[in-house]
Amino acid sequence: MKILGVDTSSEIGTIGLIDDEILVAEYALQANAAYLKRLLLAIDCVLKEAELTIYDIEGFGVGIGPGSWTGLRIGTSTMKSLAHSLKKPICGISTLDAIAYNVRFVETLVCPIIGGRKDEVYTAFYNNEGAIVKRITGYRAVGISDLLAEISNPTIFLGNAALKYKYLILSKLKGSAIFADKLASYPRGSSIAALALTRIRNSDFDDSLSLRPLYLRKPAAETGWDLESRQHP
Amino acid sequence: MLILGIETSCDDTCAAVVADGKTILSNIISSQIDAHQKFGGVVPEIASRKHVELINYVIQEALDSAHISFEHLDAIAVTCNHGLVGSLVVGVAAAKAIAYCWNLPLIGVHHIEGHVYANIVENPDIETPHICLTVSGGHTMLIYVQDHCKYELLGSTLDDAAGEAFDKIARFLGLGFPGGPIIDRLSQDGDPKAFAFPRPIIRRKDLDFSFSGLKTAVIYTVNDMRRRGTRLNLADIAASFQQAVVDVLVYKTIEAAKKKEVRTVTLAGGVAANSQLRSTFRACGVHEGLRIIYPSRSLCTDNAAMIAGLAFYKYRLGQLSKLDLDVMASAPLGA
Repeated sequence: MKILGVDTSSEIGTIGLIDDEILVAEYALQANAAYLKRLLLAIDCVLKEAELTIYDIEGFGVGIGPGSWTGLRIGTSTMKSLAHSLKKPICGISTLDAIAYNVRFVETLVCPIIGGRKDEVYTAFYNNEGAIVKRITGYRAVGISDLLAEISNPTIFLGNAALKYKYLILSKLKGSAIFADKLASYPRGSSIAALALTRIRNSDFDDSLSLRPLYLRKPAAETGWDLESRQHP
Repeated sequence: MLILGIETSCDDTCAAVVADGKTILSNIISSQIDAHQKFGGVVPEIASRKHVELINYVIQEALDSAHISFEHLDAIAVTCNHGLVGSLVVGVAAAKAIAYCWNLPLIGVHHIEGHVYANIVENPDIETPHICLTVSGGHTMLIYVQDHCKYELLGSTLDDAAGEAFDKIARFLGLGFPGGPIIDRLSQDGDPKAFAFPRPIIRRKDLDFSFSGLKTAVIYTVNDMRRRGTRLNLADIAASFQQAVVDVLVYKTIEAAKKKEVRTVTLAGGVAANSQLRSTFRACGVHEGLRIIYPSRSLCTDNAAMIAGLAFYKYRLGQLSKLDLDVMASAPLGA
């Protein structure tokens, strides 16, 4: 089964094409806000590389975040419109799950962290078992210091915020903190596709009309942040 | 030729199917007003999120109402210029994906040009050149429409858009959002001559507009009355304010028609639904010997039928977009 997976939630975009468990083609783009211009051309490039067309794709996976809100909207709108037009199944995959997938063979506590607003990070805890990604908490937005205060066991950190807060994490957790390398810190299109494949095989896919990003944060207007920042400049 | 139009430049999620630039087979508008009302204006982040949630439903409904499916389409049109960037990207991403899947021509469209074409969709016989006054909560422009897809911007607002002035005055008076229809309704019971509010820069020779001074004059007058404990007749204030806006819009538009020696004037945009603006233009049209045209109310506010309508003419002129189509918050007309 040919699945196309895409993630545009961070500064590095990714497109992966798998055929069952086989990786057919993969592409990364450092797009910095140029996802709208480049995503569909990049998808076209991956398909051409694989000598396939969009009609050969049997299912779609898309990283729904958390992450850059604009990036998520471009990725989600593009992918659900592909699925909607072609009447093919689509799965929204949490970007945190896709990052945890990069270390699925490690049975230590895994904590992917993605940079959010101000000093917040988007995160969840994982305890992978037998190369299967197993999430043990909900997805949430939390202050980095509050998150670190919860951790006492050896933990693997990865994700773009793990790189950003590396020295803070090391100073708080000392030897308990283990860092994955940069390459493992970003989601891969093939991982998104693989996670989608598992769900599609179980007929556990999303509705292409109603699929939406996982923001984890309300718009500032709804939380009153705008008002607060104006009162306390 | 069947074109699917998509429009997400502000807070309405819209899709429409139009045949040959003139026959509207469907025109679906999903308004987000309820989501923005409590904030007294459009919140960009909320608008962007709603567009993602609604866009594919609205597209499907546009196809269903037109009794067609994707394979019947001949082209995809989408608003890519002029609006909230976070909102525009949603429509453009969807349009590109559909165009790619069905190997259809993609036509990126300027939102304001779309408003100009709301009139042409309903009146395909409209003569060019003509003058179009396009006026909404986001813009106020006087456009010389030389020929299809060929424009000259004659004047625009130096500060607030006319519709924005309506919104701000309605909010100041505690009347709610959006201000245009509320003030229009309230003015029916008011005396437009009760207050002599200024007609800003009406005597200036250029064709630009300014509404912030008028807004300030209304606020000062009301604050002064409140301080002195004078009873406020909201209907009179609304009617007088509305008349001041209308007078400036009408005067400058007629000046533009004279300057360019055209016989046809069209109105477009949300404020073109204002009943006082319509009736004053009608009266002036008779007096000046001008043909005055304005769209049905459903084509005044943001909609995708006008986008699909314009795209038909752009397609005929070979003005197609590529899959790397990007969005811009503002762009010159005819770009």
